Formats: sequence, C-alpha cells, structure tokens
Amino acid sequence: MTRIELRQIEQKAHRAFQQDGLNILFAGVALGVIAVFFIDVRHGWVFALGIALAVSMPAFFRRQLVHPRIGYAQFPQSKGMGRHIAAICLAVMCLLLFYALGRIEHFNWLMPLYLGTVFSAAALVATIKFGLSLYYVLTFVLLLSGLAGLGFTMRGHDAGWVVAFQLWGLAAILTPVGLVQLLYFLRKNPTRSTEDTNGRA
Amino acid sequence: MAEHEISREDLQPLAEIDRVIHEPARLLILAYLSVVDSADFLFLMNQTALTRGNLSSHLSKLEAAGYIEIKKEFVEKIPQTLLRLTEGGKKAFQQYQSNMKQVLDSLSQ
Repeated sequence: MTRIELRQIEQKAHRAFQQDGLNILFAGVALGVIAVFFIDVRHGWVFALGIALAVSMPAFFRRQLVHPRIGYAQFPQSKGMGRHIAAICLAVMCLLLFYALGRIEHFNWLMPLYLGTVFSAAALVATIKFGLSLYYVLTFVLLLSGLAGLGFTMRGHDAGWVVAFQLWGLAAILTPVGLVQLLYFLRKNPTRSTEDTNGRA
Repeated sequence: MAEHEISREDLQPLAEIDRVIHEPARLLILAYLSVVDSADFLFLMNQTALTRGNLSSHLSKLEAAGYIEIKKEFVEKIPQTLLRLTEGGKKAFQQYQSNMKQVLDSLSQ
C-alpha cells in the first residue's frame, strides 16, 4: 500500500464528516449575523455571536445528528486544523480592528476583496484537505464576492454597507446549500440501531 | 531456465508478511485506524462496508493479536465502542507496508 492510497483513505474518512453540510450551513448563518457589525461597529457582540455560531453549532448538531448515523472518529490532525482556523480568525480580527479604528480610511475600499480572499483561502484549505468538489465552487464564489464588492467600493459606495451586502449575499447562497446538503445527508443515512453502533466487538 | 535462481534470502520478506494483517478486510480496518486517533464501530462499518458480524470477527482477531484496543464506554448515556491502533499495531502495520513494498519491488525486477 502506497502513501497516496493511505492519504486517499484519510481524505475519505474526513469527507464522511463534511457531507452533512453543517459547516456550510452555519458559515452562512454566521456571515449573515456578522454583516450587521460592518454597518455599525459598536455592535461588537454581533461579531462574537457569529463566530460562536460558526464554531459551536456544527459541533453540537454533529453530535446529535451525524454521529448516530455514520459513527464517530477522532482525527490526529485536528490540532493542525485548529491552527488553520485560528489563523483565519486572527486574519479577520486584524481586519476588524483596522476597520473599527478607522484610522486608515483610504484603504477601506479594499475590504470586500480582503474578506473575499480570506474566506476563499479558508475554503481552498478545506478543498485540499477533504477533496470535496463543492468546496472548489465555494472558493470561486467567495473570491467572486470580493471582486464584486471591490467594484462597488471603487464606485464610491460606503465600504461598510458593501461588506454587509457581500456577507448577506454569501449567507443567502451558503445557508440553502448547507441546508439542502444536510437534508440529503439525513435522508441518505438513517439512524442506526444501538446494536449496529456497537457490534459484538 | 531462469538466469537468476531464487534464493532463500529473496523469499525472506515474503515469509515475514504478517498473515493477520494480510487479510484484505483486516488490512482495510488497520489502514483506517492508522489515519485516525480513534474511531467507533459504526464509523468503521460505514467506511469499510463490512457487515456487523464480519467486522466484529475481524476486530476480535486484531485485538487478540494485540494490534488494536477496544474500549466500551458511554457517551451521553449511549454505549459506544471505541477502537484505536495500539503501538504494537502501528509498528506491525508499518512493518507490513515495508515488507510488501520489498516483495512487490523484487517481483517487478
């Protein structure tokens, strides 16, 4: 057995937990919530709420809906994945700080592109890790949203509102996609009996 | 007649192949357990597409060989069978990979 084949097995195992659509669904919900923050930076709690939703809700629903259906596995790379998530959170936090301070207003027009790039980079990392073709499409959509937003800010529209509409637009795409994926997953994988989940081992 | 006569040394890697691991279903189980920290019975059943009885039987053999550890525990009041590769299992799997590579390399020459 070659390393490539083991990597394929690893990707297949990871993919099993990405087919439920929960990450995409709650990423959409979180973006929709976070958008409010860009209209009025005084609502810092909205940003925290969005992050909390994106991180905790998929884990909660996965325990309730996914593990009883397809089982559970703990991956050794979870620490590495945590580093990726931390890096993305850090990048977004830096941007928010930059925006909230409003010291460098000359660069605000770049914000939609910055956000689009950060989000598409996150989607690209997921694509490479899990090998799911849907994430390729999402990478493209996220980057496209950044370019579209850039077009609006270059025409002189307020950067805060442009980013808010960009995030709402992404939420309007991601949430239904995640929901459809989740419903399909639930239909395809009915809950197993306790005997099945434990075997005779 | 072959130019190179096969010696006992040539066949050594073949003789060293672990028969417990060599069975395709058990090899698949070990391959899955080698890429995760731990997994439950249902996950392995889904991924390997083995039946419950078949998987149980192979797991028992792997446990008897000391290659995997089976733990039964309750997670939120639901019984769960957690499986993980032991240190011995990891070494045996790596050894199996290297032996097979040697055998396949010598066959292709």
